[in-house]
Amino acid sequence: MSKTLTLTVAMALALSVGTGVAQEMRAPVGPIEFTVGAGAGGSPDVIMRTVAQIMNEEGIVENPIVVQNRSGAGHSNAYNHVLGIPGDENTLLTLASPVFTTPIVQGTPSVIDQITPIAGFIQSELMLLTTPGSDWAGLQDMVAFAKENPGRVRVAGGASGGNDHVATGLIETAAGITLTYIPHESGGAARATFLGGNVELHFATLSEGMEQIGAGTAKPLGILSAERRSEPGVADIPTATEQGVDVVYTQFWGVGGPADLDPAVAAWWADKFRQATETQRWKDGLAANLQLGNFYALDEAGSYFAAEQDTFRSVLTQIGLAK
Amino acid sequence: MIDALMQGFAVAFLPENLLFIFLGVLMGQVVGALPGLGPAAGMALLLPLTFGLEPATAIMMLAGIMYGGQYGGTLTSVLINVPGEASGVMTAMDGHAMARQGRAGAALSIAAIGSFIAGVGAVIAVAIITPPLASVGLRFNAPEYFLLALLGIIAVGSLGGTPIRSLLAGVLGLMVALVGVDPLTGTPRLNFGIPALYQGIDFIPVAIGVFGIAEVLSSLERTEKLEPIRTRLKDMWLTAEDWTTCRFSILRGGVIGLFVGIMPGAGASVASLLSYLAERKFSKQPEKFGSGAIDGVAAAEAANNSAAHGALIPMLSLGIPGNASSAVLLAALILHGIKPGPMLMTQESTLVWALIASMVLGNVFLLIMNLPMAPVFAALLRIPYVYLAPGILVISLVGAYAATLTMATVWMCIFFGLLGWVMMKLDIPRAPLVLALVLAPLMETSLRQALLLSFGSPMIFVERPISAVLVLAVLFALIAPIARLFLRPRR
Amino acid sequence: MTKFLMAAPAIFMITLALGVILGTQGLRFWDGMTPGARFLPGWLAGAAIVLSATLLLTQWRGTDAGAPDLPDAPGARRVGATLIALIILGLMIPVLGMVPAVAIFILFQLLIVQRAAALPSLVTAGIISVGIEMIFARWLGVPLPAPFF
Repeated sequence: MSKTLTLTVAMALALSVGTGVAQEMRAPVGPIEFTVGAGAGGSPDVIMRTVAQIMNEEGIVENPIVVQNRSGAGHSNAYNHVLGIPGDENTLLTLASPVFTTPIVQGTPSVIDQITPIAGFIQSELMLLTTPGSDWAGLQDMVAFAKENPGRVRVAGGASGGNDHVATGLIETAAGITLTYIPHESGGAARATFLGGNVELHFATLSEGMEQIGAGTAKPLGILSAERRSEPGVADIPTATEQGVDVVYTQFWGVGGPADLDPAVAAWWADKFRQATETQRWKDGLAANLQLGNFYALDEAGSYFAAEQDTFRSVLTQIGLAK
Repeated sequence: MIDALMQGFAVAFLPENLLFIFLGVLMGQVVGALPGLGPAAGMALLLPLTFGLEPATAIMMLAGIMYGGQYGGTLTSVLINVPGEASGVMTAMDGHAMARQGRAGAALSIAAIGSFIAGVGAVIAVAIITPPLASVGLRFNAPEYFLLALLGIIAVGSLGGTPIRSLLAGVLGLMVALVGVDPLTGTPRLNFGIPALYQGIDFIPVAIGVFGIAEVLSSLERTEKLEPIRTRLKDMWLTAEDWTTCRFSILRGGVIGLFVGIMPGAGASVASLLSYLAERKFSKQPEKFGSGAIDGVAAAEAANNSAAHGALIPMLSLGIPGNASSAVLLAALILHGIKPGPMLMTQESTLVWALIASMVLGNVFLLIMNLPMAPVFAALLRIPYVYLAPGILVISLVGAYAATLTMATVWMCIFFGLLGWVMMKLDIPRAPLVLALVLAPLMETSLRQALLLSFGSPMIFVERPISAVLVLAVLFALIAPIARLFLRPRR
Repeated sequence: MTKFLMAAPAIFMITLALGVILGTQGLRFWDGMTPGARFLPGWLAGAAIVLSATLLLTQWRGTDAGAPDLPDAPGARRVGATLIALIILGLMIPVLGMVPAVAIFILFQLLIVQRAAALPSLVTAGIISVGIEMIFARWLGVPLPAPFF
């Protein structure tokens, strides 16, 4: 519920601040590092490599861009690196949910409050899947079963406190049920457990989910978004809200600069990210992966991230993980 | 299907593709030979080089780095006793012992031949039976992984030295793995509030310290001028006897490796450990294991290469990466605009078959590169050790730094170097520590996942057929040594 | 002295086990349906104590097959000097940068600890540091620490 509210607020902000005064811009000099806290192959890594490729190959950014994986559980290797170089103009931090959740779980100062927000530029909705042989026709059937059998519905998801876990927590609160969340070392491992027929529920991004549905290895229960998608196939899948479970939860990624980054450089980057996401190549990628391209820059990105951070904090507190 | 494979070969044989497959395996060989940088880290670093290539060419080249890295890792394991990744620990045990006996060339040759045969065998398996094998892989879940890891930990007690000393080293390795956070719930555990320990202690600095640095430290004690290890040319080659000893080791190692490789959660380290142990059971001279058994090297290398190829099966048919390097390959597919997942085999069949064909070619390149080069690499040991020692120290440390980009890793290498040296001096075997560290998270996480799956009922371990078989194996492994103690003929 | 060193592994492991027990206080041994964060630590501490006691017993009865192999005094000095040099290397990397720090370490190691000939030592230091720069920094694009100044 609070989630829906914060998103609406963020969107309203995005619309109202969209046309600001032209900000002074200045380009950084020399090679650029996109710091990614995930290992090569993780979603944040793939997203940043795609942006970097488009920026360099389409001539949007002349500086050579290197995507550097400073991986380590919880992205803290990456964000500590960026927090350690205030004012540096050649490094951007990739913002993914662990950058928000790790400090909350470990009880360390918020990262989002310290960095210079630049842009939030890509979102991915989540789909709730169940096994193909299940009797459940929709979310309400699952909720009814879980009400009668508390804790007997199992969810295979990624790391504890990760996106899947947060989504599970939101569904539990909204529907008033208790689920058994089984964390895995990676999303892939969780999918293997689900495909092996060991659990009832699993979260997937829309494109992963449609692949599974197409291959007959999963059945959709609902999408955790505000409104239905229009693409054929996905359009038939109702949202959770339509089915009376009021949960809107979207994965998102963005970038920020080190603390005390010159506002002119931050404005330059925000503009470059806007240009990159306006290319046909980027839009084709979004369409192919069924992702969203809502764009938030600078201050609006800052309030968007702050709102997301509040959501994470409240859900993680509810699950009992926040410190 | 034969048509499809032929078409795949036609793509792989295009001159441009041949060139990039060759470049891929060559780079893989080099990256794999740098201690600390395994195939996965190497692929990630070299990924940008593939932008601008055709998707098929790019994927073939990256896959080349992946299995080329397996061949390269053997070099460091054998020559300087630094396993570049977990799957090299077993190779290092006997391979390095062989190198000290002046048989580095033979160890490298059998490793190359074993990897080649098992690699090509695994590729054929990928080609013929990918979908059914993938579904076999899916039958392995938390309960099976727990028992597999438990079996590995028990077996660790039989590696080197006396069982009590090996088990103590294994327990130490498990304790090292406790540091960081609880792998299931993320609860901080034994990290003493030190940020660098929040992510736990990785395999790489431990292996580099306990094996590589400790080895160099120990060599520095000797007062007499250190003689370079004598490697006479005639000892470089395999003898007919070596080959007879190893033929079936390669076969068995390859099959075990393939089966472990298709399980998305187990990986090449479990594969090489299990096949090494199996080989010791089959060997006519089990007492040589640990002190230079060539069949041990052959089995371990065959197993880890076929596991590395086998990991592609869940990746190609289900979109689930079986190990770190196939995760990078998966990312490369996405970056080149190809959507991985269960539909990949049908929607991108040309690419998949070209990849399969390229892996056969790449393994051939690697064999051609490695066999004649084995004596040349082995000749590195002719450099006086005095000059080699500081080189090994610094390249290991730089490699470890490059893998994570934090100084904390360098400090851990130095700490575990000291620990490893003390262990050597006090006659505590080191391999169990490192293997236990690798197996620990698998064991702990999967036990708890299994019990969550069954809502707390331990019956889950006997109700599932594969799991029930593994329970019997665990019981046998526990009871057999005790039974032997009692049934020993009295004198 | 040797007796004490023989017993050192067992004593070390018992101490470590007690440390693990103390360090995991406050974590749950059992957590609802499954083992908790203290489950494995608890079992390990127990196993370490039992195994260490067994080792001590076999040593006391003289049936332990282990054979410590201790260095002589000059050997121990060289190992000690190398360890200190490694620690100084670790401290110098962020200040001097990776490549210069490594070159100085190699020279110290060869000329002072191992008393090797000057010319081959210089050549070794040169080849290795240039090699690291070429392979790691130039080819693989790893951001090695640069000099602080």
